[in-house]
Amino acid sequence: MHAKPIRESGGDRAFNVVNYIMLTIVLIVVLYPLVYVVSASFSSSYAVLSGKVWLWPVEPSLDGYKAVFKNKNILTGFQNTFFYTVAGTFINVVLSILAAYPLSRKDFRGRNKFMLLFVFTMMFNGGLIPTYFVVKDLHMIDTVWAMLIPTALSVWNVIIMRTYFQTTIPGELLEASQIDGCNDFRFLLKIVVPLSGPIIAVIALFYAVGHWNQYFNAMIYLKDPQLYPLQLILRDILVQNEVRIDMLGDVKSAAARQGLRELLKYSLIVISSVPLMLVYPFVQKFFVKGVMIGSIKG
Amino acid sequence: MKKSLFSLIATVLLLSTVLAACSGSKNDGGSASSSAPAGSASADGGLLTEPGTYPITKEKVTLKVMVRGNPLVEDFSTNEFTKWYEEKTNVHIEWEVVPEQSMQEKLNLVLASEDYPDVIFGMNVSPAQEMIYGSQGVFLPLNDLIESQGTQTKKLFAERPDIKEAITAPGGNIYSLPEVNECYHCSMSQKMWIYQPWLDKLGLKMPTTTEELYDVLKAFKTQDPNDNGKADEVALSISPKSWRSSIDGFLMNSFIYNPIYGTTKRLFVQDGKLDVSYTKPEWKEGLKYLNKLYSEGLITPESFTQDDNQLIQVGENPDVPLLGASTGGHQGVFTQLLGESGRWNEYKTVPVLKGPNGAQYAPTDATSLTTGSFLITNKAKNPEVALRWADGLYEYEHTLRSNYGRPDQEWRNATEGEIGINGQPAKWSELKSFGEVQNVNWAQTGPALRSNEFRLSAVSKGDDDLEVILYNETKNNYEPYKSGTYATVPPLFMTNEQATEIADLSKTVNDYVEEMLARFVTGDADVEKDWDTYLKTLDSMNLNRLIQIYQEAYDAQIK
Amino acid sequence: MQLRTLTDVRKGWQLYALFALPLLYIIVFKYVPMFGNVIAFKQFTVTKGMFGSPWVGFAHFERFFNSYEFWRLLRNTLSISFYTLIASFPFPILLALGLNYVKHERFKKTVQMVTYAPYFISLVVVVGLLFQFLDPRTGIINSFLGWFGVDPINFMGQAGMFQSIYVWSHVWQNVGFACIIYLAALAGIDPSLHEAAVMDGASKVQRMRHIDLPGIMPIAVILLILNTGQIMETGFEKILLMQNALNLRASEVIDTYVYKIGLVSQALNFSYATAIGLFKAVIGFVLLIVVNQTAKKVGQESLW
Repeated sequence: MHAKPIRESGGDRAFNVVNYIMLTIVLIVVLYPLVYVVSASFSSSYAVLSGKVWLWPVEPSLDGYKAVFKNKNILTGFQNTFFYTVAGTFINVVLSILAAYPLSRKDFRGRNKFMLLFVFTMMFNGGLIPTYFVVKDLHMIDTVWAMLIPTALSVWNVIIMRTYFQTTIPGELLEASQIDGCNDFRFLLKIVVPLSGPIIAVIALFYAVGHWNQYFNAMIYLKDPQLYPLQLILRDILVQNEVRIDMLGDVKSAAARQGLRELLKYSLIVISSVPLMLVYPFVQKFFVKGVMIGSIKG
Repeated sequence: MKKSLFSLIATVLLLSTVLAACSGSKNDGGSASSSAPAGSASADGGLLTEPGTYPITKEKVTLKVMVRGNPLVEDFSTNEFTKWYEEKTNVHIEWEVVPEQSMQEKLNLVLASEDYPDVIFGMNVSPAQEMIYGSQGVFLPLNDLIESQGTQTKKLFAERPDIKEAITAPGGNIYSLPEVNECYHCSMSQKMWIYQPWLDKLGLKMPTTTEELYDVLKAFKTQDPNDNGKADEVALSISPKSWRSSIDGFLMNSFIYNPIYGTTKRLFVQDGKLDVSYTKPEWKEGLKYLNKLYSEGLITPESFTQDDNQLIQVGENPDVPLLGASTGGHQGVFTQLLGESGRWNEYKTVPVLKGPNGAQYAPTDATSLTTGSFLITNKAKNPEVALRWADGLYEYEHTLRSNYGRPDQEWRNATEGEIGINGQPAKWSELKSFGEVQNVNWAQTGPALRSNEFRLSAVSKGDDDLEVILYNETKNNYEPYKSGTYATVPPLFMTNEQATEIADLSKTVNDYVEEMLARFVTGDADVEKDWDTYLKTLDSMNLNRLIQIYQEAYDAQIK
Repeated sequence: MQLRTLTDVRKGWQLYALFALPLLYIIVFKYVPMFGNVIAFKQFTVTKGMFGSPWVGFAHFERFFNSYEFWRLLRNTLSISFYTLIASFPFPILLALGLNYVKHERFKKTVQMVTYAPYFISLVVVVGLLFQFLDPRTGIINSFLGWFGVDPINFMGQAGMFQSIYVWSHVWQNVGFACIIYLAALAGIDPSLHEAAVMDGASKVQRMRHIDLPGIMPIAVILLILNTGQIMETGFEKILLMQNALNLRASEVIDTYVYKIGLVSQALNFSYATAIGLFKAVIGFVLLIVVNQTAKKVGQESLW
């Protein structure tokens, strides 16, 4: 291929300019509150309470972070959540592929009925008590499985994955492989999955975020504090710093906690979202164009 | 090749089954109930010692207790007080801790799955729940147990018949023991605070009538008391989401008796008859007054929308003070307690103002206790033991240990000459501050007896102690205006049907009243022109039925 | 012919094998608990259980439909949801399309990261920030308006503005996260299509119209259908935080109503909440079917 770049037309250049301007505006509009949150988390509680913070940290301090890491359970919280996220996401992705691929095949008998079956569950669910009973009867209460299995599949994500399979895996590919004598398992594993980098990455990200932020299931299904995920511990920390009106015995501690609570809200966000922010660049790698090159020829 | 995917699935299936089975053994499933030694089931005299003595049982008994998780308590099982009390009573506790936020759901789940323990502790079971499950036999009536075993409880009932009345369901059964926690300043917490330095600067006296308040606020707004040449002063600003800070909480009581406590907001009792405050001509007069303040810029528009942080930012404005007055239960509502600026201490309470028709009320909060703090379920093999165990928590020393910690470490007895918060001789003193995560006390979980006398007999830490300040402000500016004719509605037991009907009606009515209050004050609705429509709407929301149901429940209980 | 049938059966078998595990999950964790919905027709007490509680037929539904606020709740819920749906639909797509044509890698990745971040800010903080920006006294928006001589507006006190504030802050928080799907879809488009178009002298705008948009249209339509199904679900926590006496008539939705009733009543009424949940589900499902069939008729991607 010759390396000479094709000159862009005037229209394209105008487009580029407009594009960059719009994106920059978006960047600023979204960025400012984020900067505020981070700056507030590194300020003193008094600065936050009196509204002095507006862009950069005021009276810089690590009080918010210290309060969080002082908690004995924070480390187990991190470990647990890390485990739940990795294991859970793995289960999620595998199950989602197993569900989405057959649904994407036009020759899958009963396909539409299964779709209806799945979609129905997105709207109608039995509620807390019946689900609790199911989990209980399966002996999952107070085990790690309660954090992994009840949320093993999200129909929403399955549908998105199915749509992706339908639009990006060309039918010719399937025919060609069938002629070659490839069966469904092999086709899925050797061809579909490698070509689905982007959607698997996205779905994995969605599931991972879900696991990372999970706390309600933990509250209901877990009793042993050693199994508690991060979010539950973080919420505890927040609640610990609530000022109880009827027990204001010592002004100093009440006052300190009142201020700390505001500060904590910001520090907690930073702590719990930093890992997710760090993960994103890895996911971004999958949004690389050209993943389909040579798929037909190959 | 095809084998790999297949075996992957098979392995996943296998693994999950195996692991689920393995973890099944870890879950004890609550099948092992209180493991009392054989032959010692509720046999009188066999297991128990004399009522009022310790230990409670001759042989060690285990109670399974479900408790609300307290973020300030590290671990109930290893807690110092737990250990101390176990030694004294000879009763071992198996705790099941439930996170506070999921308390209601968890309670319902264990009741549904019949997986509940012997005792429900510190879970704030509501009177309605007590009645529903009590009548089904899930919760045991405690009357006989108290009679035979509850020395402290009987003493409490004798000294405080009002408490006994409050926890007795219609029909006469008592299903739970309460946590008594009287907070004197909380009982009259509909307060207004004003910035004293500005009064001094402008040579004004503390207002005593609604007219005088109007003049003072006007002066704040127009005479630049913060001395910076700008008319940036905020006369009166409140945050509707803060404690006791509704716009009608303080000011309306200069027109009509208007409590905003609990779920029976704006409901009062007069001569045994219940009624609401917001349909009366006096309420209308109050609205006119508030509207006058608002239209002259003396009440900020944000008083109906801002959250607590925004209000604190006004109060704590760096450089110059901006906030003239605010309403709320304590200064932390609009400033930072013990903040660097010291502003919090410069606000003083305004005494209940006298209205144009002479009304001047400080409504009292009738709830001095938390209901449903201790219940015994029908799964308990030794209900007498359970009751004795809880009964003991009402003892003076036990209450101190349970809520504060160890003698001479977290608290101590007062010495001769020390003065309490209420100015009387003190009885005990706090040594360590409450509010840190710790493992020496139960941080206000479960029954305890902290009456006003108890709490106010703690050694005063000086005039800058918040407790002392709040005590004095309440005593001087609010206590004198307690009403003899009107009373606040106490918490009432209700049947499921009553509770259901009330829920719908009161939610709709209260929301409407608050919405119209805001609209009348801001002028969005006209007090003269729209008053009749307002009354008609309340009527169509079935306000009369609401009052009627409350009246029925009240009559059933106060008999 | 016979060889063909055998191949069919064998093929079918493998697909079913793949599908078995997810199907099992759905049955166990979604359909088995679904029987719990029966309590919507009973007077459910936890201790009597689902089977022991007495039947009351449609009593709970009647209670809801006859309640004073019913129509207002329905109106607010639907209007907030539709508003959200329509407002949030185009922006993630536009963002994804715009990013797709940025050659400068660093800029592209930065914009992606930054727009992705707000999703993780807790609602309490988002609403707190919102209040600060809209504050009549100190908020940026009012300062900005002040430059043009406009008097401060108490945004949160205007019932008419509530829905807009809610929706646009929602867009702000979610656009970056939502656009990820579209980025993935765009990445899946065969680049040879673009190469060919460029060869033919197509401008970027033309490429967007003829290659990108059709490429992401299936996903966009599917998402639209799914979101319509969720029309009765509103961001309950966020609305609760944003409600106040002045905007209540525009901000009270079904979920906040149920929550408040639960707070005021002393015993959680599961039956009532379940009945209302069923009502919402039925409406959502009906709408979903309508939109789905419409999409099919118009020749677009659909669920079935």
